[in-house]
Amino acid sequence: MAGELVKLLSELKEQEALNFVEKALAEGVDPMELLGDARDGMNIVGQKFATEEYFIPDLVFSGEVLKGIVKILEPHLKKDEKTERLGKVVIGTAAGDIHDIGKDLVVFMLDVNGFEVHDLGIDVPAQKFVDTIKETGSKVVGLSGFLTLAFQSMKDTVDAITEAGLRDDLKIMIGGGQIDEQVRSYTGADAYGKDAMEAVKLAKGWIGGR
Amino acid sequence: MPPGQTSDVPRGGNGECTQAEAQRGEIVLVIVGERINTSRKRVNEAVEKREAAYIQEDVKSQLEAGADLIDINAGSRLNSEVDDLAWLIDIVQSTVPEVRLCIDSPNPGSIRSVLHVVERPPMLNSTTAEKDRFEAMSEIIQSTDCDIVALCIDDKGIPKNAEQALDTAARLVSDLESLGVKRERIYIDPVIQAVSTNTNAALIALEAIEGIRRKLPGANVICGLSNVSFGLPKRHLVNRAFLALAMRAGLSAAIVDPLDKKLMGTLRATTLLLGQDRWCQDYIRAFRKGWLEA
Repeated sequence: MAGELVKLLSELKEQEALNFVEKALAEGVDPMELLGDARDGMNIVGQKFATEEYFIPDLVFSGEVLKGIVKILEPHLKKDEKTERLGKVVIGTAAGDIHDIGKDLVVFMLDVNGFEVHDLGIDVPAQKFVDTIKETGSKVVGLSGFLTLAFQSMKDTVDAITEAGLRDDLKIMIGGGQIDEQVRSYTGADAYGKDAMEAVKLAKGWIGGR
Repeated sequence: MPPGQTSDVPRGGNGECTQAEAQRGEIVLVIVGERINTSRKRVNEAVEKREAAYIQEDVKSQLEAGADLIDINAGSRLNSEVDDLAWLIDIVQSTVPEVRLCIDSPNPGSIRSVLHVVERPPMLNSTTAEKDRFEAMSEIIQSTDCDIVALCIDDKGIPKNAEQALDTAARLVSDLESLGVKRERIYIDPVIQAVSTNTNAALIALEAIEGIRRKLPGANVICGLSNVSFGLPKRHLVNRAFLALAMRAGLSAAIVDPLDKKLMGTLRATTLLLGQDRWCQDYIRAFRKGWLEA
């Protein structure tokens, strides 16, 4: 029975996955084990997305299935089990830009992989990043942007973080359709990622080795 | 007279808006050719090396294939956008003096800086209903004779449904009109979202297009086609199907790659099916020229 949920979720079999969780709980399977399986299933979805076997709608759909699974599991989880997290990441779409698809995917994959994600939304002013880093003590920041004008905002945000004296033990990653090494170097970020899986890899490398 | 309106002036490349059509008050889809954009690798290289011939040939082929306006976008060139835009505008105008340009930049300042080199009334792409952006663009719009693309985005962001889009569109039209812009020079972009993250995104867009045409008569609706398919395989297929639906919903202008024969084929076939191609003459002419690809 172990691994069955991994397979069902990674193959996007919504109803079967939900039914399986109900049944497994009734049979006394540890809900934490099921949650772990769900997470592994989501990772496979993420990998299949990275290799272009799956597409964005698949990813979003898998998130919905996961939500359904968590909803069933939630009443059975102890409080500390629910809140156990790898580390904190602050993320948002840079000022002037309103694109959210890529950012939402990154938020989603980080969340699924166990990070506590503070999603500031779109068109986020530099100061808002600075304030949230201070409040949360996050060590990783993700800046997203699709428009070319977001590159300037990303640079401004990195500069603002530096000026606030927060840059030293903080890692900043950027991402977006047109981001490349040239943009990374322009903005002063530490790294850029091509997709949501790379964002997870970067964050894990920095704060969440597991 | 702006494109997209009834006119007896021949349209560039893909045939004429006939006298009969003009009399019936038909509206033909305005094609804005999107290829001169520095986010495309080859164009960026040509701009970098100042290869005028490459750009000029590309523009000529876009016009030949049916573009009514040529979009010029150098927004990806952070440090040299204004110089690059000015250079692009100059070399395009020098090779095709009658060309109409669509000056495309998210930075109002960049648009303002290059306006003096634009010879014919351009389309400006774009303003939004965001307070700062609208104010910055207002000055420019009032200082020149132009068509204006207005995105349905306000300080609250992108509309979540057709009603919100319609609200923003109505505000944009009324604010632009109070600046003295004639309604037929306004091109509302309802900002089409990807179906990959919202299954109803295309339906919302179609509803918005219909609503704008019905409730704001005289205003044009423009959109790009590629957003809708973001994140899907074989995106072009989705783009083409959407184009046909959007045309039926009342789209008046589209920002497209005129050299995409399949897309342009769908466009011509749809025009024909909507009864806007008298005796299928434009469609047949395009076939003879080898422009149609099924």
